[in-house]
Amino acid sequence: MVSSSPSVLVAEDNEDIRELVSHQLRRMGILVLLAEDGRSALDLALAEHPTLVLMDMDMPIMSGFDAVAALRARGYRGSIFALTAYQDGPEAERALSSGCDALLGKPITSERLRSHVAQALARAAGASVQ
Amino acid sequence: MRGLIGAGADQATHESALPGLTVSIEKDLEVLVQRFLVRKREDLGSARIALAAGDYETIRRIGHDLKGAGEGFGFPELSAFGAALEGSAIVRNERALGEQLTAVEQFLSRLRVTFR
Repeated sequence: MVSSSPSVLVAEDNEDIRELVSHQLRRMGILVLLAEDGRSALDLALAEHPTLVLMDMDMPIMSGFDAVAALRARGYRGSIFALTAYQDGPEAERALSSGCDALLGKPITSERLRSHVAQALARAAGASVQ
Repeated sequence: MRGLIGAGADQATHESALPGLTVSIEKDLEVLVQRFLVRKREDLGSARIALAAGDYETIRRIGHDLKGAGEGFGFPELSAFGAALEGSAIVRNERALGEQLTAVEQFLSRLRVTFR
């Protein structure tokens, strides 16, 4: 399910990154939802159905890997980007096999963030029209 | 869609090298950057205490977080320092950690941020 207005869930336990990413997204006029661990991210995504999820893979309580797998198992069909320092190798493969659509490599710069979020939201808007 | 989104730098312009280091960052980010730098200075103090106590996991986490956030705020050097701290903490290299913490402290003491 896709919300009528675009929203992005930022699941990230690093306060610095959470603040920076949410600031950039709000500048784009996007409704931002925040979670600090995988369990909270899972609950929030299932309740609010964000258009896009940005999921840190290395979080307390429940990892991003487990949260993404649970989201997919419970029918979440929106885009999920893994926020990870591992841009290749086993961790990257695990993120994709868990159900992430792409890797958004850390450090995250504002240009890349804006570009990839805009593309994901445009795809979601196109899909919801069809 | 599946794929890799690679790393790249933006937003900051480094204008000079030693002894001072001036970094120019978008005005819009001023509050966030100031808060970030305060937290990083606090983290350095925590890392020094952790090193004295042999608490390498705390230093690893501080380094990991610095690595992930530094460049996004306009400070790629901090991301590099964070990666070095994380690596040395994993192998419990006390001497390297001490030197790396000193290097981060020196970097922050030289740093002057302007907002445009």
